[in-house]
Amino acid sequence: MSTSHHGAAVDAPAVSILNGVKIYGEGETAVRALREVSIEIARGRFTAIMGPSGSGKSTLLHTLAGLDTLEEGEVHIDGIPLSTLKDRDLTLLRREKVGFVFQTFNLIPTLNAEENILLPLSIARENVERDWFDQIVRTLGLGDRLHHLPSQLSGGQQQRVAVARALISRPIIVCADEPTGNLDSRASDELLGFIREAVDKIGQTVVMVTHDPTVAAYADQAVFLEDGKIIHQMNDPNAEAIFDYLKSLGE
Amino acid sequence: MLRTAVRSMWAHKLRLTLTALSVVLGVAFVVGSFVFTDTIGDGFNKLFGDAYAGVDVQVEAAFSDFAQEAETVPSFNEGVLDQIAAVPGVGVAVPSVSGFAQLLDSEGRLLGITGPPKFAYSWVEDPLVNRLTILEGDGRPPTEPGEVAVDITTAETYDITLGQEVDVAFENGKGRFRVVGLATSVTQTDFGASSILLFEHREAQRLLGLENEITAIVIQAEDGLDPQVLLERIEAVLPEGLTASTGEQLEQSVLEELETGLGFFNTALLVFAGVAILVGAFIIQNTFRIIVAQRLRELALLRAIGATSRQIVRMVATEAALVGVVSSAVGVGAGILLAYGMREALGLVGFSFPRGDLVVGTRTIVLGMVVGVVITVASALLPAFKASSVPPVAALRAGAGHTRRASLRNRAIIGSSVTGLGAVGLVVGLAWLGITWVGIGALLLFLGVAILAPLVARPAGSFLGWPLPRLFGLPGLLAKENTRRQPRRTAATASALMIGIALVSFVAVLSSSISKSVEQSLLETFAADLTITSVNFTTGVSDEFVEDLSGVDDLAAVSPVRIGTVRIATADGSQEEVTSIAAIDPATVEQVWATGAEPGIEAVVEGMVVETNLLEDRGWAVGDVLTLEFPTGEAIELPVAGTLASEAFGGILISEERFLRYYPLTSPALVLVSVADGVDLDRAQQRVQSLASDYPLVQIQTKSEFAAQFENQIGQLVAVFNGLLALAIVIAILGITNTLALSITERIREIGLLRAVGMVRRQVRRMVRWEAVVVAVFGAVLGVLLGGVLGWAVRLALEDDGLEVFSLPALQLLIYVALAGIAGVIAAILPARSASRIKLLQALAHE
Repeated sequence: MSTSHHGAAVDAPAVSILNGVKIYGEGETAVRALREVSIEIARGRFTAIMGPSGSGKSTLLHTLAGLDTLEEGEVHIDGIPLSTLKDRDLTLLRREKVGFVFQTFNLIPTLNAEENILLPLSIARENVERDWFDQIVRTLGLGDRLHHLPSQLSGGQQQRVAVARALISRPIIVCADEPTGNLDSRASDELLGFIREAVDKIGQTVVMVTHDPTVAAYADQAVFLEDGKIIHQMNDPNAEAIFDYLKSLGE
Repeated sequence: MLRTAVRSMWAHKLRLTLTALSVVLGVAFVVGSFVFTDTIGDGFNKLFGDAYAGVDVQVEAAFSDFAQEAETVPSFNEGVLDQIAAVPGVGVAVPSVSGFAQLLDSEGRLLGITGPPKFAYSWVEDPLVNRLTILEGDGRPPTEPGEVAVDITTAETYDITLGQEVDVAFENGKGRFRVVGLATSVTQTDFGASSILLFEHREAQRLLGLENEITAIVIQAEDGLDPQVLLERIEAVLPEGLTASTGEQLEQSVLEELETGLGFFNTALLVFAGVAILVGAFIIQNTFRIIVAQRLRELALLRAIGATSRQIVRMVATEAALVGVVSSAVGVGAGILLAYGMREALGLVGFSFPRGDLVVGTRTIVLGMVVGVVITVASALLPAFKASSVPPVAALRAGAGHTRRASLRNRAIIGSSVTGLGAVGLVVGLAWLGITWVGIGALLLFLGVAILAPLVARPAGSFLGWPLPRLFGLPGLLAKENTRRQPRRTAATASALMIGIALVSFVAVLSSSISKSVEQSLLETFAADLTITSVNFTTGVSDEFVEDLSGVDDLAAVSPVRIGTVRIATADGSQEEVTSIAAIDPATVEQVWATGAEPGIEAVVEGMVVETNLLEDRGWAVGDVLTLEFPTGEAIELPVAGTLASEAFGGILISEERFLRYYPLTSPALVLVSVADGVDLDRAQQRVQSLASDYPLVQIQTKSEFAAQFENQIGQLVAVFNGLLALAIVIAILGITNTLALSITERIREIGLLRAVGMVRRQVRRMVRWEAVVVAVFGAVLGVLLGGVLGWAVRLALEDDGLEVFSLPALQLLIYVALAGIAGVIAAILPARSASRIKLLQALAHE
């Protein structure tokens, strides 16, 4: 298989950012959240973005996901340059090619678990691939929770529904922003296990922001940001190595 | 706490503007009503206040004390003039006649709208008593037959110039006159849309059919004589049937009458203003409840750091008071503009009022401010008390944006009780106690249903929103679910709209029932093919024209009906009432009208014939002798000689011959005509029409045209009511906008999430729009149901008064529901736009 079903070459990066500059505010109070950042997210890999508060890690994730725009530079998703897209096309692109998992408030409270999982497809009025849906639900262990409203689910279950929703439309990339931030360690391990499985079994590309070394250890690669710049990359990170690196920064 | 309240207000400018707007509109309506009636009252006061300036004493035919209810201006023989002139102390005594006259355009159509009076007067030579004058350069008074002077306002309105020939319609025909003068009021007042045509005295008598008759003698005392003294001297010689009054007394009585009329008008406007304010109160209450719910954590934090619950109540109440003061002040200003606009708008359609400055009384401003502030604060108090009961720990709990669910059982009990009380008030009011209780009953019914509405809001949302997911996919599903997630909010928003829709539906049901009842009784009881009436209902049908018709061979019967006012008393004096009485010609009436008289319509020769239900109501019986007192003051005793099945014309008939003895100048209100066998109806109508060419005020209609005209008049009245109720509906729609805007602020993270996972702006707008439509339609359905029930009840109560048919104008009501849906779309425009334009990342990060 030399091309993905969207037509771009498989060996091309799923998402990339080239010389990205993001500025918040104007004049004296302007904050440069990203300073000439460039990175390519390879397909089928699980990337963790790490850094202290205010380092620009969330901004990087948001620009990679097409939720935020750059002042300078370019983001490509599946080979498509985002700066040329109007709001509508950008929205359609997100719908088709990006899945999201946020730290909190991932679900629409008036919809049940199944409806929440199918949200991207319903918005697009696309048909559900039933086998795919069943597989995701089975893998995430949500079979008996499908008709519950979010308020009737535990925090871990809610985040698993969010992951299922992120996977349902077979996106090019899943962007996760501190997905385990509100979970206890058991639910956290469980959720990260599911994400890891998605990467390994179906080759799902995942980018995740976290500040927790044990969470980042689930990734194939860790990227470190400080003051809007990438300062380090680490392959097959483990918690200890990350911890040591962070400690070395502090010195 | 004041500073906290001000800060909080300032932080939420938009939602406050919307809340304030409902107060502004309500107050504007109240203030506008007062300013408008005060202003036109002032104008008329100036017009009439000087009307008797030069008059010391005036002699007129004696009206009975029920004179206002009699339509005709009575006249008397002019011979009295010499008697009066001979009274010592009389300086000047001038005869005067007055009546109806209306200008015609070159095509022979009536100029000016029906309503404002169109006077004909004889020109009074003596400048001392004449309240009209002809200024230098405006010609001269009419002195010959064929001459007319026109009041200057009317002349300007219709471009009438000196020397021009004009056609004028009178009850008894029409004539062509040369305009020789333009008359101005001595006080320079504006006549508005009424017109005054002046003729030479003898000519006026002839034109008005008052040969040798006059309607008034205007008297001025010799210098230095007290009018009161002169009055006593005149009264001493005054023949039976005449009365004398001083100019001051006349002025007083005119002004009193005017005040009563304007008071009634003002009350009517204030009822509509009250409805608007009630709707506004719903919205204010709902807004404050949502605001308090959204600020639960903030309020709890204040509690946690030591604010007492009383301070919280005071803070919310202060915020409401500030909103109330500012918006009431704006409302007062808007009300003054509204009154100005109303006067101008009515002027444009022909209802011009006497000119003058707007009258803005202190009482108007105070009342406007008080109403606005009190309503706002009172509406906010309930939410304020709710807010004060927030436990301090709520500040720490997540998701504290949701209010507790009130006990459904309590709500059901309270709501049913209030609804029940309302129903009782309605029934009691309709059956015995009158309109005030009907109003109170209706108000309680509205409140009761509004209290119960949250109980049905969820199923109603499911039901009304049922097609949305199928039609619009996910945005439709979310719209439906959003109407169901806060039943109280949905219900309160819908209830505000319910009130306005209930009232317009009530009006629709009642007017439709009236039309259908009239139509049925026309079809059932009238055999007449043609009806002849006057176009303005002030004058009658010319007797001369009726005579012309009796010779026409195409017509089988021509039967006039005359109507007068009479006081009927029982022999023992235990019962007395002023009512209308109709006169018919027993020889022809059965050919045009199935009266169902027993033993026969000829009974009118013996006495009066009374409709069966009326007879029963009054407890009279055939053979009873009753006393009839006429407007002239004469009284006769007359037996009840028979009964009547038809209740048309009030249900009491006497013979035309007897009637004319006491109302010699009352021409027929209606002439019923049946066409001879074998004659084509169109041909007969054309024939009659051609004979009517000399009588511009006469209108000839087939039975169905007559019914249609009646329906048309009802329709106009309905349009006025709906116009006045429109404000209440506009306020309710603002309420929908307001609620949606608040809900969107609350759901901003949710919308952010939807946008993130791929919802395009159009879909967001669609979601908000259809939520608004479901809420609006829910309110409209409640309103139509309630209005239908009200209409049904009132119709039932009036069944004996001729409202025999209940008619449900289903299409009309469906249109109201559809219009409400469209209103929902409009209400959603702004909130939908702001929802679709939220900043994604800020929305997602929103706390």
